[in-house]
Formats: sequence, structure tokens, C-alpha cells
Amino acid sequence: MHVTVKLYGTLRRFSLPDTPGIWSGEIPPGSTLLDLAALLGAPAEEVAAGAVNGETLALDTTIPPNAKIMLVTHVNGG
Amino acid sequence: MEQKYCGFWGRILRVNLTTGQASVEEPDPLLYRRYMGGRSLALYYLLREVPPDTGALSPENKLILMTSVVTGIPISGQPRHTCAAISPLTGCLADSQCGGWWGAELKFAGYDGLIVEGRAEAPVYIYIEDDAVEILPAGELWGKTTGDVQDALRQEHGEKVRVLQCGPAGEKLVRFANLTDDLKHFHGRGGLGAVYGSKNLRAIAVHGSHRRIKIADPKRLQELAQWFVKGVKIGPSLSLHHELGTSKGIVPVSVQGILPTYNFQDGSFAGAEQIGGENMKKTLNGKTESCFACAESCKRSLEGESGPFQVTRQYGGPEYESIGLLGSNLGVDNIVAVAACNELCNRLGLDTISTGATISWAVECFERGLLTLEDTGGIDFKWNDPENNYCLIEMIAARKGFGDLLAEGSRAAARRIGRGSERYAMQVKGQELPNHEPRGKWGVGLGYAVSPTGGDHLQAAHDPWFTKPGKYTTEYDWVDLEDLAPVGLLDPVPAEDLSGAKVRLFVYLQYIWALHDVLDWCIFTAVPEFRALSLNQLTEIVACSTGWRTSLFELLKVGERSVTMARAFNVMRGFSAADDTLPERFFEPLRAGALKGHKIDRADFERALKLYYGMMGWDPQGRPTEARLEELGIGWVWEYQKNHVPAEA
Repeated sequence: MHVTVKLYGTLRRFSLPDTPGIWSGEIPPGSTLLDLAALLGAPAEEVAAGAVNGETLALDTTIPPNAKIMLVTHVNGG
Repeated sequence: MEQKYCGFWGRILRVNLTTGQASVEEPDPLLYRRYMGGRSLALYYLLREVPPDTGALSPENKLILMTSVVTGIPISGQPRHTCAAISPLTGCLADSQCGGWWGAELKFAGYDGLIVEGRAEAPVYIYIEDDAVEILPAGELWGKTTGDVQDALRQEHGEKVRVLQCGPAGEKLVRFANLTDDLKHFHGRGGLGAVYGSKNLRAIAVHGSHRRIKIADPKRLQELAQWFVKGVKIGPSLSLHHELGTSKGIVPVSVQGILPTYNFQDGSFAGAEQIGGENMKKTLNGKTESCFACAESCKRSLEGESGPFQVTRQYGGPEYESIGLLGSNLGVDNIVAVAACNELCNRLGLDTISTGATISWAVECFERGLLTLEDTGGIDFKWNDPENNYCLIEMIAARKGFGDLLAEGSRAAARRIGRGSERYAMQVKGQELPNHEPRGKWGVGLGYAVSPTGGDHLQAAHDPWFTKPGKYTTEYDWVDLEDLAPVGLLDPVPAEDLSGAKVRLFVYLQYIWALHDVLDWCIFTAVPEFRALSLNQLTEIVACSTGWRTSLFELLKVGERSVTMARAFNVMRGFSAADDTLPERFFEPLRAGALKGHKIDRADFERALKLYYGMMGWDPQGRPTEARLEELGIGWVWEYQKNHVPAEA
């Protein structure tokens, strides 16, 4: 299953080299947001929240086909 | 001139604008060991020299500008300085730390601090070049933008002069007028620009020739400095902060449901990606800039245009707080418009947080029918109307029309209008709240309530960082609690929680944050959530600078001393537990966003306040006890406090 993920905060370091802030590729059907993060190499502790098609959902949510995904870390302003 | 002590001069400059006299005092060096600088040294003078019944805009109010025992040394994180006074916005303490260049320059001129007192008969500016201190006429500068004044002073005194000035808004005594250092760094909060204005003071320009501060262990300090430089290159958090600065936070915070939106009605913003740092970098040709001697270089310099809005590099670029308060909280999803409004605030000398929040109050009140066209002079308020916001910023700075009411701040404006509009003024103690929704991080709510300067987000680290066990990953990337273990904080606590464990976490974090304000140390280089210099490394840095055999215990006590001195200052001015409140909105469910329906539990909040006072060694009315003041080595504060506070009934 092909997905495109926007990565925010320190997760940006898991972007594809030519697309800062974005990763796209194949993931196994039935993967959750946390499975996806693990596939990218991101430590689970670092993932604060995820959104699917604009809606923030629990990290154990199964990713539907053709989903637009966002993964974020804890980031403060200041 | 020889520097007597490692890390500091032992010299405080005092300028009296009423008499036109300048003098230098040389305090006991133990004063520096006990208070170390910044907010604590400022409070030392404020508590002793400013009577409790002093008006914020009276000549008796004093502007205290302080550096610390590490300011100006060659390592990232040290360039900040403190400005403190009674706030024209709140009536309590105004205390602000500003990055940039001015603090180090004051140190290079041979001073650790500057006390400005009295009021000049006509507009003036102060020019300091080492031992030469002049009070010079500023009639021709009065009314000019901050950029024009900076240009004029550099033309007069040379390109290397550093300028700390108010803008036209400060001259007009706008209650949330700010100060700017080199046009891109700010004492944003508390209305310190109006204190300048009340003294007929437009600017303080400094140039120093003693450009190398004598320190005790330059070799070890260089090693620590290089460790940090490497972290900026390879550390995930530090390199991200270098790339995007604070603007990196907008989208993640929106996804988490804690981005103030539509005057804190919602916690997520549909336009977050448009105004986030990633898009700002692409849209506005962003470049990074630095404060003095800092490898982090997290400041933005932007240029671009969109429709009627133009942004220039002269005034830097908007930080996270400004993007929120001039963006999502006003429903604005155009980053160029947000940056242009930010630039206008900087040009006129207005705090972007209070400016945006006060306009947000007006928009919501207008939407609810609590403000009418008759009240506003025909101005039609609505969300996502940056052209209107731009005009209002000009009107506020000039105190023109309805802008004159808004220039008083949201609390005073709401009191004047009445009709129930007070409940939509999102402020604590009169200071508007910054860009952090506390219904998803209750400790931030506690911080808003007990902050000695009114609503402020920099009392402590924010809750979400400490919800998971600490886990060390790489040298530059430890997660969550790991960095707090040296102070004994080991257990995760949920973000939406105000149990005893959360209050304990908050109290310890407040000591750490206060320590940064005392040392005038930049939080972006050394607090746990940025995964940078550790507390133990910060302790080493103080030792390297001063030669003191110091410890983390001593430094945390310095931080605690600062919190309690600030509390005593406010208690003497009539503030009590009754002022440690939150807007009612936070006890009601969030209307929309990822945390829709979440609210702060009122009983938990009230219990947390009592626990907080107890842990701080304050009485149930939130007043520091004689015992705790003695324990902190500041028993003299009790002598001031007891004479100005009625005994408990």
C-alpha cells in the first residue's frame, strides 16, 4: 500500500533526501501509525501525534488506503 | 580598566534622568554569588528601592537592566539580558529577558547592569561608551519608527553601537509597548516600552571596548562550546531549531490540539500548514540569523510580498508566539500577512502577543454582539481579516480612535466596555495569554496562574515532554525525562493532570526556568525539551566563567530564590492568591480540534494551587513565609514584606 507522509518536528530527519518533510513509499496493508513510524526508523517515544486525512487519531489507528498522513513530535514554541 | 572578578565586573551603572547624573556602584562580590544576575539582581534593587505604592508610569518606577556572571563569554546561549520594572499593563512585576547583542555590549563597556531612574524633562537617549556616559537630546528621534531611530543613532555613533529602544507606541504609553534590541530581539512583555516612554527615554545606545570577558577556565569552556556547535550540526532537535526556529512548532501543536485558535475557542487550526514554519521558509525566502556568539542561529530574516503585504529583512521574522497570536488566534491563514503585521508591531514597538490577543478579544466580542459599530467607530471586526488587523495595529500604536481603548490592553478595555465582555479577555493579572492552549497541558495553566508577571508560558517546561519514561538515545538526543533525573524527577506524569506529582514536576521545572532567567541564559540552548546543554553542563559553564566551586544544588536555589523574590515583590504591591486565576474558558470544553471537549478540572486546579504554595514555602494566601525567606538566605525580604502586608485574618 502506497502512502505519503508529512513529517514535522524532529521527525523531519526521516524525510526522503530530495523532499524535506515528506516520506512516501510502500507499507504493509493493515499498518498502524506507529508501525509506519517504526518503518521510518523513528523511536516510538518521539512520536507525539498523528493525523489521517486531517483528523488527529490514536497512534494505533490502522492506516486506510490513499491516506494523507501527518506525524509530529512534541514541539514547543517559546 | 582591569576586570576584578572572573565572569563579572562588580560594577553597576546608575543614571538619573531627573538630575542628569550618572554614577557607578561597586557592590560586594558576594551579591553576585547569591543572585548571579538577571532577574534576581533586578529584584534585589526593585525590592529595596521602589516603594510598593509606586505607579508604573511615575518617575519613581525604575528600569533595571541586568546581565549575569556568564553574559558575553564565548559560548552559545549567553547573550541575553534582563529588563525589569513595575508593569504598566499589570501593576505587578514586569520582567523580561531579551536575546540579541545589547547585553553582551553592556558587559563589554564595563558594566554588569544599569539602573535608570527619574524622568527627563524632554525626550532623551542615553549613550554609553565605556566610562563615558551621556544623556543626549532625542527630540528629533521622537515619533520615528524603530528602524529610523536605529539608523540615526548608528549614523551618529558608528555602525557598531547596539541600541535598546522603545518605539512610537512606548512614547504614547501603550500599556503593552515593548523594547527592541537591534530591531530583531525584544523585551516583548509587560509594557516596558511604556516605562521608557514615561521617562521621556527613547533609547539606550551602548558600545564597549573591553571585548573579552575575563573568565576562570577558558579551555574547558571552549570544549563545552564546541560540544554545542557539534550538536547544532548533528543533534536532531538543535539542527531542527537552527533550520526553522520557533516557527517549527505551529503544525505539530495544531495536530495535537493545543494551538490557540479563534481567541482560544478551538485547539486546532485548518490553516496551520499555511502559517507553519515549513511554509514560511519556502514562502518568505527565509535565512537564519544569530544572537551574539551563538551557533544555534535560530532567528529568521525574511522578505517577500503578497497582495498589499510586504515583508523586509530589517525587522527579522515572526516567532512561534507572534505567528499564533497574529495568525491562528485571529483566524489568519496567510503567512505573509502574519509576517507583515509582525513587522509593523516591531516597527512601532508593540508586543505581538498582547496586540494580537487584544484584537482577538475585540473580534469575538464583536461577533457576539458585545461590541457595536458605535463602540468601534465604524470598524467591522471579523476573523481572518489581516488588512483590518494591520490598520488596528497602527491605530493602537498611535492611540487613535478605537485603538486608544485597545492600547489599554484587553482587561482594561473589557472593563470599560462591560456587557460581559470580560469573560472573553484571555488574560491573567492583566497580561494577555501567549500561544499555548492549557486544556491539553494543565501544568501550563498552573504556570499562567502563578506567573509573577501575569499570563506567561515561560514559567516551566510544558507537560507533553514528560509523559513518557526518560530514554537516552544519542549524545544530543535524549528523550523526555532523561535530562531531569539529576534533580530527582524520574516518573512520567500525564499532560492533563494536576496531581501532587505534576505540581512537584512544575515546581522543580520552575526553579530551572527561573535559573535561566537569572543567568540570562537562552532556553533554546539548555532546557531539557530542546535536548541541548544539560543541567550539569550549565553548572560547569558557571564554574568556568566565575571560578566558583558551584553545584547544581546551588544553582537551583538561585532559581528558587528568584521565584520567591518575585512573589514577595507582588505581595508587597497587593497581589495575593485571589489573583492566581485562569479565564473561565479553560474550565469549559474546547469547542473544536483534536482535543475537542477537553477542559481543566476546576477542583484539581484549586487543589494544585494549594499544593504549589505549600511546596514553595508560602502561606495559604500565597505569601512567602519568614521561614522560607530565611532558608533561601534572603531574610531581608521579610523585613520589607511584613511591613506592607496585613496579617492574615
